[in-house]
Amino acid sequence: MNDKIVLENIYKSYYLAGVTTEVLSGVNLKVEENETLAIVGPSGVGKTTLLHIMGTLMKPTSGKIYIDGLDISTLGDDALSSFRNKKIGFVFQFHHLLPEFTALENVMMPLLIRGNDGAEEKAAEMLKLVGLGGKEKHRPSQLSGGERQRVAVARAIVTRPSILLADEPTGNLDWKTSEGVLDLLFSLKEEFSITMVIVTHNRHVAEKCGKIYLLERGKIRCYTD
Amino acid sequence: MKFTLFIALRYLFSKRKQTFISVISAVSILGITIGVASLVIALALVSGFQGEIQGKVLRATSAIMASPVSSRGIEDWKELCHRLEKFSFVKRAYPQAIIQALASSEYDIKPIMLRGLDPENLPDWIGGLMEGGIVIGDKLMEELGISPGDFITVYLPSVELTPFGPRAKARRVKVTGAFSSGLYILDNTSGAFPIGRGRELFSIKPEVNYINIDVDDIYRAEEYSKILDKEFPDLIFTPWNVINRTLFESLKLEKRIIFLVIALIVVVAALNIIASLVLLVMEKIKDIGILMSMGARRNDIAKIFMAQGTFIGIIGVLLGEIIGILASWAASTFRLIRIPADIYQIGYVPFHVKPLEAAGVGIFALIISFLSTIYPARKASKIDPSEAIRYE
Repeated sequence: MNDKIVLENIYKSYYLAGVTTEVLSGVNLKVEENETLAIVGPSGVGKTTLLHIMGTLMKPTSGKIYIDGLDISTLGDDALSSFRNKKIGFVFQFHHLLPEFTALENVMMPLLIRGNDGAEEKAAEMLKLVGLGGKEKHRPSQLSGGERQRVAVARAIVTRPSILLADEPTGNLDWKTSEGVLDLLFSLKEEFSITMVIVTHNRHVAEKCGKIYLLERGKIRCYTD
Repeated sequence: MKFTLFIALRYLFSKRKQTFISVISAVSILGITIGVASLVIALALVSGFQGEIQGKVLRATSAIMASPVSSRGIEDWKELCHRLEKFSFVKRAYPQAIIQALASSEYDIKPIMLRGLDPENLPDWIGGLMEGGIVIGDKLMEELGISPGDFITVYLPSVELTPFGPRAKARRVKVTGAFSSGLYILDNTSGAFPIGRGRELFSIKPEVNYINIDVDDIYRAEEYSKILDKEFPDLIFTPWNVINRTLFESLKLEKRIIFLVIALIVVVAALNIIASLVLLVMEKIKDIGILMSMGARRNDIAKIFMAQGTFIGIIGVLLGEIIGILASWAASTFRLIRIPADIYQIGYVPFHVKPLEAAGVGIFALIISFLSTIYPARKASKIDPSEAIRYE
C-alpha cells in the first residue's frame, strides 16, 4: 500500500493573549491509500487542528506534511489552493453550505472555482447520487439537517478528490440521520476509492473505520492495534 | 461566468441576514447616485451658462476685433479688409465704428455704445438698419421711455465751440426702431447705425475705427490674432474670448470649485461602500473559509468583494447619470428655473450636458468606488481559512 498522507513530527502552537499553547507536540501519522482512519479524542484536544493541517488549510509550527509523496510546504499559496481543489474534499460538522446559493449551486462551487465546464451537469448527477434529485433549487434553509449534510458530502466529492477529510460529519445530526449520512460517506468512499480521515468523538462512528487513532496531550497513538 | 462574479452578484442581490448591511449598501448606492447626479447637473449648469453667454457674445461681436494703435480711426479700411481676407482662416473682414456716447430723452439719460455696422454684414439680431436714424436696444428704449420714431439727443465725447463757449458735441437723431439680441448688456446699452452715415449723423471722421474679422474656427481665434499681429503692426487684434476674459475665466473657476465641492458627496458615498463591504466581510467570514477550503485563492476572495463594491458603484453611477441628464434636460427644455435677466444676461438657467463631462463624472465615481473596495477586499483575502471555518 502507498502512503497517501504522511505527517512527520508535527508541532502546532497557538499564541493568544501573551500565552503560547502547544496543541500538537510531535505528531507522526501515516494514512495509507484507500484506508479509512478515525481520529478520536476529547474536545479541544486539537483534532480539528490536525485535520486542517492535513488538509493544508493551516500550516504547522514545525514538521513536514507529504501528500502523495509531495512535500506541501514547497507549494505557494495559489498552488496550495489549486492542490486543495484537486485532491481534497472537506465535510464539516456544520454543513457550512453557502446560504445564498441553491443546493445545486453549492455543489457546483468547487467546479466553478476550478473553472470546469459542465459544472451544472456534474453537480446535478452528484446530487442524485446522494439521494437529493429534485432538490436542486432548494436553498440550504429549505433543507433538513440530514439533507444539508448530504449536499455538503456531494460538494466535497464532486471534484473526485482522492482524500476526504470529515470533521465530526454527523456531530450535529440525530442518530437515525447520522446513520444515513455515514452509510453514504462509506459507500461513496468505496465507489470513488477515496482515502478518508474522520475526526469524531463518537465511538460508533470511529468503529466503522479501519483504524482508530487517539489524540491526547498533543500526541497521537494507534488505538486499534 | 467566473465564480467570483457569480458570488458577488448573489451577495449583492440576495436578502441579508443582517438587514443593516442591505441598508448601508442601499445608502452607498444612493450616495453615489446623488453625487453623480449633482455633478452632472452642476456641470451642465455651468456649461449651459458658458455656452449661452458665449453664443450671445459671439453674436454681439466677431471672433477677432482689430483696432488701430492710434486713436484716429482707420482710413484705409477697404484695403485692410481686402488684405485680411487673403488669409485662409479669415472668412470675412468688415468695418465697424464704435462711439461711446450718452443718449438723452425727455425722461432719462443713459450711456450708449453706438455701433456703425456694415449693412452688408449685419449681425442677425439686428432686424435692419433704417436709413436716416439709429436703432437701439429694446431695454434701452424702455429705459429712455421712448418709442420708434421719437428723437433723442446724443452727447458725443468731444467738444465743439459754440457762440456760448465750448460745449459737449450733441446731435439730435431719430430712433427708427429697436432690436433685441437677448444679451442684456447689448440691449441695455447699445445702438446701431449704418456705417458711412456717421459723418452725417454725428459729424465723426474717419467713419471706421474697428475691423471685425470672422474666422473658420472661433476656438483658434487667439492663435489667429497672434499671426495677424505680426502682419499688421499698426493694428491690435483682440480675440473674442480675451474681450470677455474675466467672464469666461470666472465661469471656468466656478466650474472647478463646483466640481470639487460636489465631488465630496461621492467621496462620502465611497466611505459607505467601505463600511458596507467591511461588514459584509465580517458576515461572510465563514463563507470565505469554506471557499478557501474548496480551493478558492486569496485573490479570488479579494475579487468577490471588489466586484461587489464596483457593482454598487456602477449601479449608483448609472442611476446618477440617468437622473442628472434627465433633470438637466427637463430644467433646460421647460425653463424650470427663472432668473433675472438684467443680472445674468439670460432669463432662465440653461443646462447643457456635455457628453465628455458626464462621462468624466461617471469614470471619476467608478474609480472612487473601485478604490474604496481595496481595503475591505484585502482584509477578506488575508483571512485565515482554518480560523474562519471555526469562527462562531
